[in-house]
Amino acid sequence: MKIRKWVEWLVVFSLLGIITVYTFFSIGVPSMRLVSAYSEEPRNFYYNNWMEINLAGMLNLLYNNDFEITKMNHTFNEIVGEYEFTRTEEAFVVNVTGFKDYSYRECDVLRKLMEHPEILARFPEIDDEDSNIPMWRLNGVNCLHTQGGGIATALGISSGGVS
Amino acid sequence: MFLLINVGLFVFLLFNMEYWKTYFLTNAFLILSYIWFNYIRLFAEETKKQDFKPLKGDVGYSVIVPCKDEKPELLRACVRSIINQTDSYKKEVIIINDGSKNKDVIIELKKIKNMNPNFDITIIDLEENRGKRFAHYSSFMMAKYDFVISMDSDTSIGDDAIYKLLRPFSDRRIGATTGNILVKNESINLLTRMQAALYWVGLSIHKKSQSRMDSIICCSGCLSAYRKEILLKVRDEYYNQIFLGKPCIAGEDRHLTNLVHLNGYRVVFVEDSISYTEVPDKFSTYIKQQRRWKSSFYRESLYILANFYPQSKRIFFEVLWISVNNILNLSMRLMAVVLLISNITYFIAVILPAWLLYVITVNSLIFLNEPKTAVWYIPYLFVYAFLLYFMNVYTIINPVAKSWGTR
Repeated sequence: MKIRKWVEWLVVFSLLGIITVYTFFSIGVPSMRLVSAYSEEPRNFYYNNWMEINLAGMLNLLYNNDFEITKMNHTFNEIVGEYEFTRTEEAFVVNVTGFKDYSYRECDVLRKLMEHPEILARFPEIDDEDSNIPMWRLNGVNCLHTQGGGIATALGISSGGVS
Repeated sequence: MFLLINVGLFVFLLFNMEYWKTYFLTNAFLILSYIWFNYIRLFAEETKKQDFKPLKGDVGYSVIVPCKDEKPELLRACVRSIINQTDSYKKEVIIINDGSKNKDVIIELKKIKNMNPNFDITIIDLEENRGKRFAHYSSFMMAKYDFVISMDSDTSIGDDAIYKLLRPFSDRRIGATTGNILVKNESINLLTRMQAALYWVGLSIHKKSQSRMDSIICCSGCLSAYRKEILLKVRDEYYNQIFLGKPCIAGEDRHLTNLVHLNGYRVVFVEDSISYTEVPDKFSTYIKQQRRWKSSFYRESLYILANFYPQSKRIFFEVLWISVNNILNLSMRLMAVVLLISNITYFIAVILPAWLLYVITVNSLIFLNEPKTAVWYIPYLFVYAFLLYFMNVYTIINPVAKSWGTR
């Protein structure tokens, strides 16, 4: 085969590679996370895994499963630069049947929940007097700000931990 | 069934938006994996071509040309190109005048016969139009030689096209071969230019790739060769094909290819056996042709899915793969419309670039090899996306093409 042909094929396969990677990483990987959210395997979700797609996954879990909200001590890990901080704080934790603990950390969750009052009604109102960090309310529902001002914490999260 | 699946899927996705990415992923996986599969086969073919020795011994072929109201100059060019073949094989031409109403055709046929007294030309004159299948059916028995070449009357061929087309028959396992097609009237208008690009993609990418793994699903009506012994065996089944209680008119080339496969023979594409054909230059004619092709595509795909497993697993799974893609595709297109309306930012940022990248990628070979032709493939993509694709839906609702449409 001539060099020109080899170059042609290199271009063709490179383009195919690009489109495959693009498709699976821009759409595929978040979708797989969504799929994993329905898995019956107990999983823990951590801060760094919290992508928007997980919100939909969580919503679905709440739709389709019984859950209860309890207070418990939760350990949060925060990485700032090269340092990692660990602290244990009291947190609202959503226990979904068949799954381990889930903690809601983004007010986007709340915004989505606002569209579903039947779910929202099952959440306790957060008592902002117990908190010593800045708080704000979103359409009557409490949202907690993180201390670092990063991800807003919401239902089920203790006093402002970024975990 | 197709529509039920699609509408059901679409409604489900519409009310459960969180699933659509998973659905898209499934669809993208099917499409991309098929493209990879196709290109890997093609790459294998390019790097190590299938090589066939020339036929030896007492070889002869019969060329069958059914015609109905063909333009005399095209018919003349067709027969002339057969006569001018440079091979040393014995040959004959059987022209079936399938009830032409145009008297010029009849005059032209007589002229052809008279002007070539030394060439074995047989003309069968059918008083009424009986269809291409009947023309084939009646002429298969008449063919004197072991190989039968099927040609369209608006097609002419290169000087050594038949020699090259017959070479693969030196392998006893091969039952049929099909040649390459170039568009004769390419430069007439946008429509013909688009079709020229489409032919290039269809043949030089898809058919060549299918040939590598013996999964060609259609030997072109323009130029194909068959072993006569197979044709005689399948002749009745070919002519009497019924679909949904009605005799099949179009798609004879696809059905004949299926019958060759079912008899355990291989089918190969011969890239350097060149034919030149006329394509529709009017949009209405083109739509009729597409209607006919789509109708036979679905009919023969069902035939393959019903009959090819486990005998011809490769073709069965390839057609299944393509069919599932087609089924999922409609819901995806509808979802794209919903996304365009509901989340235009996402559509522009993610869907549109992905689609453009996809279009460039899957057709990159034509852009590299035939850039001038490839340019005309881009408008075709829009015609396909906004019109031709939805003809699939129409065809599925009305699966039987009642007439040939373009003859």
